Order: sequence, then structure tokens, then C-alpha cells
Amino acid sequence: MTRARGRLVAAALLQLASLGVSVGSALATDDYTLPFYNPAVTLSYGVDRDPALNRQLDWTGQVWNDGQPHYGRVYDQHTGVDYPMALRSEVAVAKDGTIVDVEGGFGTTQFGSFGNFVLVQHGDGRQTLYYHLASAADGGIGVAEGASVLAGQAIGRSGCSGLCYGAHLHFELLTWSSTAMKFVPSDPLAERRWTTWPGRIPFDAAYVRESNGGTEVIRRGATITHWVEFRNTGGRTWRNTGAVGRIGLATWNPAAHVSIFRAADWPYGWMATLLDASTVLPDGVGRFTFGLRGSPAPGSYTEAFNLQAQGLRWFDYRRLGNYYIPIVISNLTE
Amino acid sequence: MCMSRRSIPLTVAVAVLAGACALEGSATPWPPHGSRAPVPSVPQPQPSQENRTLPSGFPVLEGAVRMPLPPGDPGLIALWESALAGSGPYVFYMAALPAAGYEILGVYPGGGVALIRFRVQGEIWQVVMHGAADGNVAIELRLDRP
Repeated sequence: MTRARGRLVAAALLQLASLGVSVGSALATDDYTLPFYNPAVTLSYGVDRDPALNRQLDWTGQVWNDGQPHYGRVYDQHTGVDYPMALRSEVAVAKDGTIVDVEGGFGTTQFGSFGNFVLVQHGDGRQTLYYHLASAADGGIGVAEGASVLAGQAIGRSGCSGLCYGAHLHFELLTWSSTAMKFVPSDPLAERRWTTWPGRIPFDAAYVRESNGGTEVIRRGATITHWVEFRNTGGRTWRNTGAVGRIGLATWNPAAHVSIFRAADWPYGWMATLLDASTVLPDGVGRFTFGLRGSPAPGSYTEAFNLQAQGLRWFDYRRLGNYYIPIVISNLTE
Repeated sequence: MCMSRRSIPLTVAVAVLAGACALEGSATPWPPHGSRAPVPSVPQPQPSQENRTLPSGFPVLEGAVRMPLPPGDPGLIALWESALAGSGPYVFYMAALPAAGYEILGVYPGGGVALIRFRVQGEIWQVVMHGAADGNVAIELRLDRP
């Protein structure tokens, strides 16, 4: 039986690699992660770190003296990081924080001086701005002012409101300047303010191995132990504690259905187990151990599983390798 | 002039007013070119551009007005202005280029500019869209550059 697994999609990393940037360096500081969920999203433009008109200093350190746009790098006096996105793509908050301002009254593609945004205050004193969002009526604003948000949580959907010449997300990192007495834009790319370098989406995983890569044969009424390992290819540290955000292995297709194979050790009928270890850093491998009980009638079955940051986000099942377990329940009883 | 529809904190005023309004183009022509007055016919090309014509079948946005080419920009092959505001021209070219048989190699939409790289018979070109005078969008057809 073919079991396609372990497929890694890393278009963004490849793009950076093509620019001569080293890839795969995990810093594991649990800092900022990319403000979206699709790892194929590439960079349109970064911050112009030179305030002079017609002179640009891009995130790689290259200087351009022409005032022209340089794709993947910078355009003149740009204050944030632009990521191309189809309209209404989900936007993720880059770090834990509190929503301090929202605007959702403009049309999703309404061109003008102002557009829709979410502004988040973080515990490190910085703020992040998510701009050009879709209208509130179009799902662009998914949070309310004053709400607490966890890194990787969806806070809205992208659009092209405001000064926007093509649908994208303008992500801006703001740092308080005691000199200027105001928040000023800073460059998350040049400063490498990411959990990993290059930055990664919050939640992503790749299949590594499991206790039995073939078919699990279970005698009717018996319980066997199965484990599977996934590599943390996202930017967030995996944890198995906390009411929200802990990483668990849950049933899939359909999502969160009560499994006929659930064993006594399952925390819920739809969740086989939480992460075995207390934490797994980016690039680390996490194991998930759980029982499978031969409850149903003898026959051949499959049970699909997906990872979930509980209460926040399902992982992308395709990038998880379409993980499932073939199961045969035998006639023999305990 | 940038006008807020509602009261916003200083932080956002800084970020959006400075970052998006003044810096991302607004009504200020970007990048600065010469005269933007529409002309009824195609202007005489610059010497360095004299051998360049539009790629065969290159789609032109309906209503776009051909503009004279500014001096000193040899990679710029054609220039139009469109009254279709914001992302309209970008949306048009995202559909029209593949429909005309051109392969899109990369898309780079932004707040001050949108750029599409595409291939024409082995050669890479760019369509670049940005703010122009009177709220118009300038559409540049140019040879590829980094």
C-alpha cells in the first residue's frame, strides 16, 4: 500500500536560498513567526532602511541609489514587509500580544489613503501592524480591540484596502523610540527577529517515522500502542501544556471525529494524544504515543490523523504527508 | 491628503500616515518622471529604445493612455496611465498575460508598487504599476532588472 508521507514544501526557503541567504538556522528563541500559514508565500518587498528619498538600503544590506522597486528586496521608503497573498487569505499574529487597534470599515479592495488593519502590542514592547486587510464584513478583522492573542492565531484575512496596487499583506514591526518618543518601523528581516532564520510559518510539520509503517493488525477487543514522529518544521515551539496552543494528534477526515479505535489513554474521543515531550523546538522531532483499540467489527480500516495546536489551528494535512494508519481488526479475541 | 475616517492612536497614525500614506505613494507620482500629460499618439522613442517594440500580442488595459517615455531610462519600453485605481491594473495583467501566452515568473504586489515578471520568447520583461498623478496608475513595460 502506498502511503505518501513526509513531503516538505519550502518554496520560501528556496527563494531566500536563491538570494544567497543561508537557510535552516533555527534559533529557537520562540520569537516572531511569519504572519500567515502558507509556506509558499514569498517576499515582495522588505523595509527600506535608508530614510533618504531615492536611496534604498534593503534587508540584505545592499544599497540601491535609484529609487526604483527591486523585487524581493525593497522599494523606496517602504516601512514594512510585503507578502503577496490572494484576497481573503488568513493572517496570523506573529507573536503573543494584545489587540490595541483595529479598522475594518474600508472595502476589501477599496483604494485610498487608509485601509483596514490590526495593530498588536507585544510583551517585548514592540508592536506589529497587519495592513491592507479585507473589510470586517468580508472577514478581514477576526479579533476585537483589547483581546489577547497567541502567536500563530488567525486574526483576520488579507485584502487590498488602502494604498495597494496588488493584493498583499503589509506586515510592519514597530519599535518604541525613546528619542523620537513614538513607535518607529524597524526591519524584522535585517534584525532577524524570527524564531528561525529565515522566518517560518507558525505551525508546520513533516513526517519522520512511526512504530509500524505498515498495517496495524489488532485482535478484536485488544489495545496496541502506536507512536509516530513528526519534525517541527514551523516556527513555534511545540508544547503539551496550556489550555490553548498545546500540540496534539487528532482524528482527521473528517476533522475531530470520534474514533472507533480510541483507547483508554486518549484525552478525547477525537484526540489520540498530546505531544509526548513537554516541548519540541523548531527543527526538533516530536513523538506522539497512543493506544489503538480493536473495538470495531473485524475488517480493514484506515484512520487519518492530523496535528493540531489546540484551540488555535490545524496543521496542513497535505504537508504532514497525508498521514493515516491502515488497521485490520482480526477475528481473534483476547 | 491623508484623512483618517476615525480617531486612531498615535502609533497607528505614525505607522499608517507615515508608512503607508506619505511613503507608499499616495497621489505623489512614483517614481518621479517627467510630464504626465496624455498624448494622442505614440511619442518618438529614446535612442536606446528605438529598436524595441511591444511584444507581440502584449495586452493593453482598456482606457489606458500611452505616455511619452522619460529620458534616461533605457529599460523602459512603454508607459501608460490608467484611471483604473489601485489593484485594477494588477488584476488585469495577472489574467491577461497568461491569456496572451506569456508565462508569469513572479509577482510582487506591494503598497507603493506592484511588479509582474514574465517571459517573452526567452527574454524576461516586467510590468510595473505604481501611483501617478491625479490618482491614476502608471503602467510601465520594461526589460527585466533586479
